[in-house]
Amino acid sequence: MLSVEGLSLSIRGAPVLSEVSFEVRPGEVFGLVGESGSGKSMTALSVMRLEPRGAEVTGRVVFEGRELLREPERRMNALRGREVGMIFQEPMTALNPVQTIGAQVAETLLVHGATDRAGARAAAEARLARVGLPPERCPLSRYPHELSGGQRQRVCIAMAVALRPKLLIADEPTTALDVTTQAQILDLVRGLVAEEGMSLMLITHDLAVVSGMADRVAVMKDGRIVEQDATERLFRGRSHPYTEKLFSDSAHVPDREPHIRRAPVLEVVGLVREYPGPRKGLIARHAAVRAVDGVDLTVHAGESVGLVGESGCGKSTLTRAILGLEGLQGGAVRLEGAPVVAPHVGPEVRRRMQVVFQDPYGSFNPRHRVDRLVAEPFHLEPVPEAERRDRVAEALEAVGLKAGDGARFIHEFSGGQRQRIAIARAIVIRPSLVILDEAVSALDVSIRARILDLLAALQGRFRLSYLFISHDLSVVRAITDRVLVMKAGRIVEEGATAAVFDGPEHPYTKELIAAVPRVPEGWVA
Amino acid sequence: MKLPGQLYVGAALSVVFIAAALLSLGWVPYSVEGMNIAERMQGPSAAYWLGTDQFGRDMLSMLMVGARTSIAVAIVAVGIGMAVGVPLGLLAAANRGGLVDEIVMRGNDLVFAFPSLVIAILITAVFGPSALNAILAIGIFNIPVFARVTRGGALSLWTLDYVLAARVSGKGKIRISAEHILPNIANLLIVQGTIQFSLGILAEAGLSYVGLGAQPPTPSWGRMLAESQTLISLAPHIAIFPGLAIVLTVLGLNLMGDGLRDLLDPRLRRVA
Amino acid sequence: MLRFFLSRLLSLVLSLAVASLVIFTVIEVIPGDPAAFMLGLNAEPEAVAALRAELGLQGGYIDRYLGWIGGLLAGDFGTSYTYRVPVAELVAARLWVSLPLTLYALALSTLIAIPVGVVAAARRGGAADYGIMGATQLGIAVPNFWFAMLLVLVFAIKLAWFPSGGFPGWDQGLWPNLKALTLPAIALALPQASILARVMRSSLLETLGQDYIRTARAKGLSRQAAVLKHALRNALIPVMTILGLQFSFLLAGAIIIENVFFLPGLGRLIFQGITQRDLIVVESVVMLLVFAVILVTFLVDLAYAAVDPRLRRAR
Repeated sequence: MLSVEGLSLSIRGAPVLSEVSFEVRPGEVFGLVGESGSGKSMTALSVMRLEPRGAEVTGRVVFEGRELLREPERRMNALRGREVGMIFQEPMTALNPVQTIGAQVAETLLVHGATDRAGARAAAEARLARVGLPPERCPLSRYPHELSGGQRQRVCIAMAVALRPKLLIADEPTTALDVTTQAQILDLVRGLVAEEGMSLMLITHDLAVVSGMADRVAVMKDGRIVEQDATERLFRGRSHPYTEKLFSDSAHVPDREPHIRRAPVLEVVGLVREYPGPRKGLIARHAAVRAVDGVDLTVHAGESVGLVGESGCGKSTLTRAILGLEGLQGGAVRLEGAPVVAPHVGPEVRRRMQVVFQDPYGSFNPRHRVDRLVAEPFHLEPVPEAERRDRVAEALEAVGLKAGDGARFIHEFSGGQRQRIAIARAIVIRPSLVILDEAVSALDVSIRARILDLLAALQGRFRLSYLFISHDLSVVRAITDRVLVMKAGRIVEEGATAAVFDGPEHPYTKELIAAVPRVPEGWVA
Repeated sequence: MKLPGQLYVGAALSVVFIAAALLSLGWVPYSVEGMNIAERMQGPSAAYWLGTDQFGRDMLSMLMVGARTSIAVAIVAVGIGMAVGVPLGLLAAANRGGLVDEIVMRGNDLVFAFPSLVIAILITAVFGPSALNAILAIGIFNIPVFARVTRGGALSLWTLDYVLAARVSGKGKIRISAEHILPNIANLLIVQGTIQFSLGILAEAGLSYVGLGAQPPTPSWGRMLAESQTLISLAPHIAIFPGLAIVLTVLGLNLMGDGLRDLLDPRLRRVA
Repeated sequence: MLRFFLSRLLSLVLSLAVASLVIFTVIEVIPGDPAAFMLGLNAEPEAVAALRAELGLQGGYIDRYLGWIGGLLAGDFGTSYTYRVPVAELVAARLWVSLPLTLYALALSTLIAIPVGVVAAARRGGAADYGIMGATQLGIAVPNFWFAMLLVLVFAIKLAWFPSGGFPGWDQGLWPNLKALTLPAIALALPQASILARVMRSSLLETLGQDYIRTARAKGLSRQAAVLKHALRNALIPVMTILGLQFSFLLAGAIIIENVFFLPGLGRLIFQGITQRDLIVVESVVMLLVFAVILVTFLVDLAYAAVDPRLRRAR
């Protein structure tokens, strides 16, 4: 049905895709897997002929016998949405904020002249109901900002399949979503494809997602397809070294020998954090929102504790409260016995904890040199200039960089290197506790595996305790000794990591763990 | 859009006018103080490059001295706007959503309701007209502009992780504002400063034109235009040259501002 | 929606209250005794006392402020010291020149700027875009009153297509007045249109880069349809902010430009008021101008809510 032959694309002379060839057969799910920058999204956009301006495309894209690279724009317009539908990664921005969802779904029908206004409205209603947004719960008159991320992605799907296209292209459709929402959306897509006999081209970075969805898979790297085959055969064989590496990295468990002592480093007791409610009238407010509702948490010396939860569960608020950046409405935080009370946490307390954030790009002041960035925590501990220099150099070397890198600026480093610098900054004053706030979530699997190794090595060397906050269950499983599951501001389950993952007790934990996509057991061996 | 070399063209024009203003402090082709009725309203010639005005004064000399007034008023007004507006904006952003933020923003809205002309009218009605009034009026008008730009730029920085990292390192709001916020919005302020500088020159001309700015005998481009108005059909050059001086100066500053924006835009730099 | 409207209305009233307090303080408190100020240094004490009584300047500041506000609300702006007529009458007559001029210029500016900005964005990087950006760069740099003088020189004096100044009055019919206001309106509108066109262009370009435009294209909309149906409405949101600001610039500009065309508008009234030290006139006209600016801010807020559903609940 779709056959791509020798597709190459370059933007202002820089090659992005080279000689990409694959085909999608009628009724099949074709998976395209690769790390960021591998060219998988660009491949999809080229098929739709929506590549960015200034891109030069060569090769052949044949859809149902028509050569799309030669089709005039007018005929491409008629094809998009009617014969090929597409959904994108970011449901938060993929919808027009000033139009109702009903109008946006109906537009697909109207623009192709499929029906009149009333007919389009009725069809939109039916399609929205099919994707799980029935009009009685979610009227057509809603605007995108009134919906959650998962609901918005449902609207995008309804829009893409409104005219029952023969091919649906889904570009990382669940990457921006929580794991339970991801499972629902993948179910929905799987059901739609089977029901309507559509073909699906699924683009993702997640091997587990593709293993559960695709009939055939292609692995992309640096603009090329390195291997493609039937899913099971490819997963079992892993004949290309890059495929093998992708596999081992995504399932990577670092070597750790935890030396846990009974002494508590961090104690959180009955922590409550409230925000004022939204305005009701001109002055009155709704009741306060409890973001964190009576959380108890202990991290012992040398221990790695994981805190997992989906977006909005309160884990970021909890992090900020532990760091003493925001006041509490109840409960207490103690660090090695000393109380942490916002907003004035004394340097002798503060110097015992540091933090590594998610975004390797927003974590550094772009105007400072790396040595100054890494030395920032010395604000808490007056140290002679010479010793400071030595310790910065030591920290940089400890995270696998060179001491000389201190003289460079942050924009000279890649995302993975920046995360190493962030870790250097966190350990430079030898804290007892390092909070890792989604610290590896933004990284590709291969870089993530190396950073996890580094964290494991540093823990032994500097006798660190970790509080590992993440929405990514597989990472938490790989690196923590104990785990806490958070939902709606409360801890619903707590226990040794292996025990919780293998035998969850709370229904929410069960749901969460069941929702994590995984590669079938037998395939990996 | 990037016009080739717009930064250079803009900078060159701005430098010419600033140099002319500075030069006029020490030297002008002819004195602008006396009258010379015999030589009045002459067109451009070898002796008087830009001709003479209705009192026989050399237009070029008048324009050079006028540039001084315009540039001085505009620079001091930008200075007032920055000196008051930037700290207010930083303060508001550091206390986002708090009482201080609310007060600063409401104060901003209030000043925005008074166009600089209205401020000038109010001041002049009570204290009488002078160049100082023009500076004050334009300067006050600039305060909320800079406060708003500063706050907007600072707010987006306060959400970044490096500010959190600095807080975790025990740094206070003022220190963070000085060390992490201000240097990273400096680009924004330089560009806005250039824009307000050129707007200040336009505003000063307007105020002087209606008699709310510089008073005789201080030459000013706006007043030269006001005085030439009735003579425009007799000697158009008297009306045309001061206007051209304004246009070229403002154009130069705007081109320079746009060029600086392209040069300093972090989005463009990040790619590089 | 109603809550949004009420909260904006409250902010309108508060702004007016604070602004009026500022104006009152500058005009009536800072000079000390306005009556003495108005009559100058050589005035007889009896004359000053008489004027003070005439202007109602006895009593404390709070009483006088409340009296002034009460009068404004009832349409009583006080009596002009120089003209010896109610200020409300003076202002009403002048307003019928200044307000139509401002609105005329605003309409011209919008009608020119929006299509021009859209064309520049659509032809980004092309000759039309370069031409438009160059012309608007020049337009921004031109002082409107000087541009007005040039228009008079060319179209009134040399070509005699339009009158060089004066205002026939609305009892003379629409056409002669429109003709009298056309050159001033053009002079006011073109510099503002230059700014607006640039804002329109950059706003549209930014919107065109948004994800939902790509979504619309994936649905099968042509580039043009995506611009018209999805980009334009979103791009108009920042344009409205500028339009609101432009009203106050145009109003101020109108006051200045009335001098070029000898138009009997608020500008002439207020400058006479200043030279003759007629503080009551100055106070009233300034209050009126500030009221107009605050009112437009309020209307722009409402327009935002009409265009952008995200704003209807919040704030």
